[in-house]
Amino acid sequence: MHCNNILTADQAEEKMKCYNDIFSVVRILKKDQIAKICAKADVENQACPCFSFWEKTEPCDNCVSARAFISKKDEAKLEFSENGIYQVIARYAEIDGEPCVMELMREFDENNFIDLTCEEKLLSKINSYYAKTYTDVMTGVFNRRFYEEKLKNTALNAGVAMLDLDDFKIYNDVYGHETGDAVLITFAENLKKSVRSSDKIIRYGGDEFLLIMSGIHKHGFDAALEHIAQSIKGIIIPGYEEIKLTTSIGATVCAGEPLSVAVSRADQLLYRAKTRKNVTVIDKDGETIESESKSTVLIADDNKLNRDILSSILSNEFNIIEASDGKECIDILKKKGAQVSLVLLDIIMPNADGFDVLKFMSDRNLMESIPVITITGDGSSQTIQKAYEMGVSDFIARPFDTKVIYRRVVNTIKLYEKQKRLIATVSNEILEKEKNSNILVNILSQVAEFGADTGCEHITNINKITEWLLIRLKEKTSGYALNEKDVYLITTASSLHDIGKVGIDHSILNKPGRLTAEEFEKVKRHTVIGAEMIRNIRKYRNEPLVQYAHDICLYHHERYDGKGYPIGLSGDDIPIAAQVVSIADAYDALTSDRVYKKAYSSETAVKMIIDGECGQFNPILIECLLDIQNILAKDRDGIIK
Amino acid sequence: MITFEIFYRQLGGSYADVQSRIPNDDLILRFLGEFLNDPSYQRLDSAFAVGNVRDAFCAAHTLKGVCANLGFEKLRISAGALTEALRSETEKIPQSAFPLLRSVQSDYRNTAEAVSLFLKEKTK
Repeated sequence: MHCNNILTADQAEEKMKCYNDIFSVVRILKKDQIAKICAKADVENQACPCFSFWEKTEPCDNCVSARAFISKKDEAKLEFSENGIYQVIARYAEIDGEPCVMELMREFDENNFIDLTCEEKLLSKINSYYAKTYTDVMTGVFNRRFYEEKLKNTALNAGVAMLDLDDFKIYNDVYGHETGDAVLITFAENLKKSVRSSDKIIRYGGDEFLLIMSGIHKHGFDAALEHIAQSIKGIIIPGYEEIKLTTSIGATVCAGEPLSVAVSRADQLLYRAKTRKNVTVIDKDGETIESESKSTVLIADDNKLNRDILSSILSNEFNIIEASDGKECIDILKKKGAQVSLVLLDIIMPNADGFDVLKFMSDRNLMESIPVITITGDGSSQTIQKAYEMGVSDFIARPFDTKVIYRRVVNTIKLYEKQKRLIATVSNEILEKEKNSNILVNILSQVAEFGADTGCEHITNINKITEWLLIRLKEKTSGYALNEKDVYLITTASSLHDIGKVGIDHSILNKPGRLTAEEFEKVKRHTVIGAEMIRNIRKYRNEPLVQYAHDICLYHHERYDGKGYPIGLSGDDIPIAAQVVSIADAYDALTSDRVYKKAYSSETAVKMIIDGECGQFNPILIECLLDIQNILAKDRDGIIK
Repeated sequence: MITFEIFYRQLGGSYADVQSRIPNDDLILRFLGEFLNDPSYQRLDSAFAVGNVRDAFCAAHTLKGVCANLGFEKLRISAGALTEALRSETEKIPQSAFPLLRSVQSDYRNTAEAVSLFLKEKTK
């Protein structure tokens, strides 16, 4: 505070006279007047309510005089009204020891207030402040602050929708936060493209967005929501193409009420939508409509009154199918299968009771995808125990409590739906990883085959033939102890059978004429070289895949009669994986073009193998080859399996 | 005038209890109407007439459940007692069941009459 602001009453009056020459309004505000302004109290009875001058109905939020009084300094601001632009200066002073504020006001000449360049700069500055304050940094849409400060209390006529990304937490946890961010950004981008430029998108929560469509017609609103839901399904996240996005939407119309009321309603509708996900719930004229078909609940009870009571609790939210006995229940399950989201099952029923239904569901593996809640008045612990042992999810006793039943049904269905979605996500992840490892193996084997005269389809062919032979072998005999995983691993490992060829001089490998004995010996070494390369992988030595790859590399040129190489094993001393790849390799060599020969037909190749013209093989594998010869022939004719 | 409270007290039950489970009066009235058409009692009578233990058990059990849902305490208790008496795997209906049946018949008649009267009042 300046020392020249400590004044006597006379001095103050003198100053006021000087100020009057410059300022159009000059007044002194004492402490109690300022306090009233700050408290916004007793508005109508204020001696000189300054804000009425500004045609406002209440004091300014940033009352400059109040600020000056508190800070004991000079404060200034610009004020805008219909009448013009005003500069307001508030000077703190102590007049005869009493703290007060001198308020000075001056009107600007609108035409000369600011030159054009400065005006533009000023506007730009204000806009950028505004934008920064009210924009969500990550997605570029409006932020929650914008809603709270600018929209919440305004009365609007608008379509209001609350959108929530389904399973966002799963993406964040499974794929990482960077992916989660990418998902949000892409989602917001998509939303922006799907709405009009006058519509407002607000990031309301972490993965919740609020959409305000002002002045939109009811039909237009429905169409817009449908369009949004569809376009979100079509979103592809760059780098994460396997992620399939869906959104739950709660929508309502704000008809001239404060926006916060409509938003609260939309939020409740969103909560309902989230029980099933990928659903839009909209209320229109007091009725709630869901955009997708409701989940189906099957009520099995032989008593109509009981069925009616349950139906009355659930029919708003769910499609209800009724069965009056166990047999009817089973028939419905046969027909509808996993379309049924939950079964409410009475135990004591004629024509097949609840336990018969449970056994049926268990035999058909329906218990995993369809939850069962048993309802019975027969609450003997024996019954309950038996029901739980048969896989029942929950147990409701009579008399029915409508609220409890409703909640349990909704919660159970939600839980199962979430489980299914989780399984789908995890499966996708696993498939993705499998695909990646298959790609790597393929690349490796292409490295091995590069420059060799085997053709780029050779590895794929070996994979296919190996797999078909193994499947057929498994069907014929359990003598080799092969399960599905073994089939998968051997098929994968078969890609590497000739990996040792990288150690062989390519001029020998690709020699068009006959090889000399010496050259042939060199080529034969690819078996040993390949096995050694794989043996050097110490870290994964014990992995079944690595062991299969080793055996295949080393032994795929052995013969059943012992006249093969490198060792001369015979019969089933040769690991079965190597035997299978051996015959597959022979077949593929015969049915492909080589430098030294043209491709034989599938039929010819099979005959040659049976006749022992291309090596000696296990009789059972010859049988398998014959069994699959139609598939082989079709494949060679271009119909790829 | 019969109120819900009086109606339920007649039948040994409590309106407050029923209301806590079925919070909608219109729904309660609807279910009361359906009760009068419920076949469980007739099935019980028929099963006793032909001496079919299994059917009698099922019917009594169902009647008991219905009464539990609707808050008909007196009838629920007598139907419950009859259900237990019929639970054993006998070929013929045990002698002990007959007096229990008579209690059920009496309670059912009272209940049905009370429901009829109450519904007539409410739909005036």
